[in-house]
Amino acid sequence: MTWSIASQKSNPTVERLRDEIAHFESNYRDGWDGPGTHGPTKEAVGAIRLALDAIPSGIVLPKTMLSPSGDIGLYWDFANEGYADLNADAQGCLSFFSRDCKGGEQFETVPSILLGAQWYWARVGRLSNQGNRAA
Amino acid sequence: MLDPAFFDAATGEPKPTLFEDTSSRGASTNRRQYVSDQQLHARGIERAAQATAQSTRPKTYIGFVSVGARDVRSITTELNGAPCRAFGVYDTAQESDPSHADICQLIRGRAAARSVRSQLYQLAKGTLCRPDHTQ
Repeated sequence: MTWSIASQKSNPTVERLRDEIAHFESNYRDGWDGPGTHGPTKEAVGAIRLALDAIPSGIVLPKTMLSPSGDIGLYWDFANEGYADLNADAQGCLSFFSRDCKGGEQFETVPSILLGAQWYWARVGRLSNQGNRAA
Repeated sequence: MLDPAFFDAATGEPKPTLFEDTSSRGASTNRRQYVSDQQLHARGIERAAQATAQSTRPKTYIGFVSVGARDVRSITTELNGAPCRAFGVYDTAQESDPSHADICQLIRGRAAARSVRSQLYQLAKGTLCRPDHTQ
């Protein structure tokens, strides 16, 4: 298998995702979903931005999500073929969860230095037939 | 759903983080056999107005999603090699709201929490009911 290493930084849909993350950073403060909830820290935002920029061409782009805890994440929903999410906590630590079509699950913490084409193809790319699907 | 952070406008689906409250303060819900859809929508619209008045962030009532209590209780995750029930659904009826219930996560651990959140998200997909009945 040949992994594409071309960055998606110039892809307009990636720009939309970057805008969503920026929107979370700018507009969601502590208490945004009631007492005890938190906005994303700059560490969390920085980590998820790195994760987004590291997605290689050919991998379906994810959607963004924000937790009441302030964790910020990316997720892929391949319907019956699987699900995955990548989460950045308040300290900027990344963790990955996936569930494949057979119910097999994987969870790991992810040092940001590992993010790249090989990492994404091994974890997200394997979940579905990576045809021409849009996010 | 009151905040667009929990809603994927492109697909009309909730985002996985909508269900995060199950792991902390309990996810407030209503039992549909004790409340009509119209009443649910009316309460949601009222809550959005109250939340907007109390916050700097405007809230918009989008609609509600439905899951069956039996289906929620049947969600499991593996702990110590054995399937473990993930959620409790509790009757927390109030005088002002006899339909009230709470979904609470019963298991701990990051991997397990991500697993059961994804399963609850899958249950809720396709069930959004908007006040104007559009998708």
